[in-house]
Amino acid sequence: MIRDKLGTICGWDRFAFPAPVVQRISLTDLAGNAHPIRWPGLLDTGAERSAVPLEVCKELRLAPRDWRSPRGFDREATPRRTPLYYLCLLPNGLPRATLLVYGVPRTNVLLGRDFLANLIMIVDGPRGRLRIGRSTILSRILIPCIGLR
Amino acid sequence: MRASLESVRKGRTEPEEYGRSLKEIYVFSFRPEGYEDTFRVSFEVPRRDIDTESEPINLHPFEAAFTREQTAFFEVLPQLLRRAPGKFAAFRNGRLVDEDADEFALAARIEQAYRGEFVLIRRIAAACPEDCLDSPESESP
Repeated sequence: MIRDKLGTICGWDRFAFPAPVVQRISLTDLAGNAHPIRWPGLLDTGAERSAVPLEVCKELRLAPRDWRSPRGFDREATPRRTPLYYLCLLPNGLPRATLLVYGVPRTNVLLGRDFLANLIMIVDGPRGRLRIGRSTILSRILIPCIGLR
Repeated sequence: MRASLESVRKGRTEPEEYGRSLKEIYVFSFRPEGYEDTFRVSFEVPRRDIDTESEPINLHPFEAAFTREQTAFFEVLPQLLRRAPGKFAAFRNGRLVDEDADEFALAARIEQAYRGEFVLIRRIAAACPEDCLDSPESESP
């Protein structure tokens, strides 16, 4: 309630918080072949491993390198065996990441904690800000001292 | 009694043959052990009795290869655990073809050598790898 009142006074509303989305991600295989489409990526701290649209793997003619049955959010779901592929993710403005990712039928890239492992993400709800950047030794020291970059 | 299955055929009757009752026909040919003759059994199932709502099983083309490579992996896992725990191993046609401490270097070599073929790459560890995708986003079929 206080937050709503503050929002009214300050001129922003409670829905102004940005979605954790990386707009364009290029996907390439380990031989350097790039998929022609640049995909939107949804940051998801709940996912242990990233996932890409299965059609990317098919169109790049990749063979899976393992299969696993990931557990779902309710942990009671029937496990579904899912193929895993090695891919390079090149997000706009962020460092590239080579990852072992799930290939699933979806229309965006799910960026999990394996992708975030080398980045710093700061969520500032009251200011409606989301910052994602490289994890450097300097940023690890500066960010706690000066707040957001 | 043992018998070898020689062939399985599946057919379908034309509607005019049986009025409007379309049927599926399954023909099995088999030869019992010790017999020289081949026996043939056919089943005719009216199509209206077939549950067409059930989801067809679409196996991924690499799933059979996965089963083979995973079986090979588990067979040699005790030796690998003694020799190279924590490394990553690559299996193809039921045999260990490469290994490396660097997962992505190994994956790049395998991609170059066996592009488009299924090669299992897995960490040499006693526990089976398991992931938890806690997000509802990952639950879409």
